[in-house]
Amino acid sequence: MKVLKQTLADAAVMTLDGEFDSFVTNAFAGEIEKIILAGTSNIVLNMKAVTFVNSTALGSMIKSRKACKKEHGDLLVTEPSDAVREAMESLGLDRLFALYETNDEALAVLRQGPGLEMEGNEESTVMISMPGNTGTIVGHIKKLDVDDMMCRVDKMNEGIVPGRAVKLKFRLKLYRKEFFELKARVETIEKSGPAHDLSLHFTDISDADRADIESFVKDMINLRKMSSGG
Amino acid sequence: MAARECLCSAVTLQHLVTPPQGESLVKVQKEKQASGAVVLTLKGEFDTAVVPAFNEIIDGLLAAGDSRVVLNMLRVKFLNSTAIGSLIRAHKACGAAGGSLAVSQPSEAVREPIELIKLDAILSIHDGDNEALEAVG
Repeated sequence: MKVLKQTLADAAVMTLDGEFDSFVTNAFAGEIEKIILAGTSNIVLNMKAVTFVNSTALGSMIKSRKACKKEHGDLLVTEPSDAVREAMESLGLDRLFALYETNDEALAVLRQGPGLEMEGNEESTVMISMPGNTGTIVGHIKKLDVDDMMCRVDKMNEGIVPGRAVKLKFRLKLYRKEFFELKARVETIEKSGPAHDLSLHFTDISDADRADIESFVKDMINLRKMSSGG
Repeated sequence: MAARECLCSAVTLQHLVTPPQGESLVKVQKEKQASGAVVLTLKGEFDTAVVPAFNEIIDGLLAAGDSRVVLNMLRVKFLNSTAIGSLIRAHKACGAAGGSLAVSQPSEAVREPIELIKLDAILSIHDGDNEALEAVG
């Protein structure tokens, strides 16, 4: 397999060519590591010319994606060949990885930054409660991602401080009817006029909830692109 | 009036789809009109779990040369973001195959999310099957 690397200011594009199997996974993982060490965690993986991919290779892609996510970036697959698409679909990985038709499209998504801005009518209410404290406060989700959310709270509770463990309950009515209930930690609190913006990191979330949030974020980014004529 | 006559001479095919989970979330009834257009009547909850089956039905129609499709969504009780994506996909695929896709009689549960995401301008949405059939020609 040949690997072609192109480094842009805020992202890297890796183009793979040939058979992606167990023999080349180490080299692939090494290249990803180098890119991340150089300070870029937004990676586009073009797989148009990949004629074969095995489970070890897919495993190494999952690991690389996690490494990018850890640095607040992402790894997106573009132009998957039939061989790649079939292998990913058979393992359900097409739901884990966002598959994009062009590098430009994927770069645009990466540049928008992680997470989904929730606007206007799509805004969802989130109930924030604290173990050992009876007060529940209400916020509006402003930004959502698989591991984090930012919400705006009008009426703060003095028990809410950075580091505090909280429980969240919210609904994404454009995705499913059931509530999401999960545990999170307050990361930062910023004053925004009379309101406060809380950034929350999910600490205990079921795989199903996480997959649903990821799928919702991906859907909404794609649908918005279409509604704006893209 | 022409459209109504088509309905009278319709050839009816029952085509029920059950998603992989085993629960029957959406039922699809397929009816081919004399005009050659196909009316799919969906019932139930149209969410992510149902999307692969729905995409397959559309791909099957297109493979059979049926690219003029009306989707009756009167009895759809829930429509999520992934399902909206598959409607857009179907709309584009029918268009690319030389036909078109029209949504007919959307329930509130269908109309509201589509309007919220501002995709009502892209999809062809009609109050009745006759108007929708005229729209797909």
